[in-house]
Amino acid sequence: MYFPIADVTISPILLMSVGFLVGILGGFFGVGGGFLAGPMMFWSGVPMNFVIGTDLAHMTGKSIVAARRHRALGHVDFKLGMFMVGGTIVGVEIGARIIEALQDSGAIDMTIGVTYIVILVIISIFTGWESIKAIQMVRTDQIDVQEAVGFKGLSKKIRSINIPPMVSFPVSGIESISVWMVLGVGLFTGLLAGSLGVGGGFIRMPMLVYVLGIPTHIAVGTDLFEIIFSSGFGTITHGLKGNVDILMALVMQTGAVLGAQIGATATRFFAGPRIRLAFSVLPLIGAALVVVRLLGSGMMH
Amino acid sequence: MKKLAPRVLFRNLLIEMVIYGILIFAYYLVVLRWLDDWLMSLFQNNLIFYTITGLGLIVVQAVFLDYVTSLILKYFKLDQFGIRRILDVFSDR
Repeated sequence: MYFPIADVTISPILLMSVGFLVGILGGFFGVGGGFLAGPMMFWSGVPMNFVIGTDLAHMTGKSIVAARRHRALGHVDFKLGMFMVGGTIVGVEIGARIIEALQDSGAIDMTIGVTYIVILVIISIFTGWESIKAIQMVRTDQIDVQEAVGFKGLSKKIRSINIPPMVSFPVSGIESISVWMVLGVGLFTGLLAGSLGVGGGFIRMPMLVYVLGIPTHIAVGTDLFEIIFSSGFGTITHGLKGNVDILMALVMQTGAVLGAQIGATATRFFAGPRIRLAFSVLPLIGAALVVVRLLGSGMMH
Repeated sequence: MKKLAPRVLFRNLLIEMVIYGILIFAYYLVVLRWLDDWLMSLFQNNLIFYTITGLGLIVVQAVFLDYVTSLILKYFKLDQFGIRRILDVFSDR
């Protein structure tokens, strides 16, 4: 099928399959799946600027569906999500402007490709290491997961930083935290969303768990709620810059809706560390796809 | 909870997929093909309207398709034996 806006020909079945796969990821892990969908689209020949904008557009609709399902399960902290939005939107705009500058300089594919690879490998190693350690220690000593891997101290330190205004998030079990810490998480993940075309969930979900100390199931639902705003705003700002092929996003979304249903239901059957262990393999697949495309186009020679 | 054989569970999942697939194929033919030229024209002539329309289409389609998939599960009573039961089986292993 020819997509005239992005000026590429891609099988709609391939796009629908990509949507289906990332739909499952979105529902199950609480991530938009952009870290995998982006490399898959890039690998299949879509120009990098359209990969970023279109990926964000397709994630907007998908995250609405997945967040609705998690809300029904009581897994969304709306107050925390709304506080993070401020930082997220600023970060997305900065990221979108970086993409525009890279597009003008002609270095977008190589720069974003290598950034993708580095971030995905780091996330994979870190999440894999942490979850294996947590599973082993909780199994033997029956202690709290965050305490087992030493992150309880980190989230306690973050919560003890007393820079006003302070705010509480009872749903997430946070009695008091500086609003700047929450905005900081939003800004950082928004920057990734705007510059890599991802919802930011693959970094926001670990940050919510490890840095802010939120239970994994609440982090999953709240992250999806946040993705609605990060990808929604990202769609607008990239759309205005001519980086979005809506038709391609609509086709991808037809598969994503079905996948999201399966993924959200699956979270009921797996414990937090096991969800994170399964999650740790996925970024490597995305990184491998980017390497293949960069090698194929001769950019790494 | 009464457990069903994996064969039955996969059959029901397959039914869900086939029904959804047929509906999506019809949707491609009727809606997406029609949108093709119109969206391209908007993209070339009015980027602001294109962006707003695009975001609206994405949101409407997501909610609509979610409604359709839920309806399929309920109408064919697949929600009793379909995806949830398949996950039940695997989670017990």
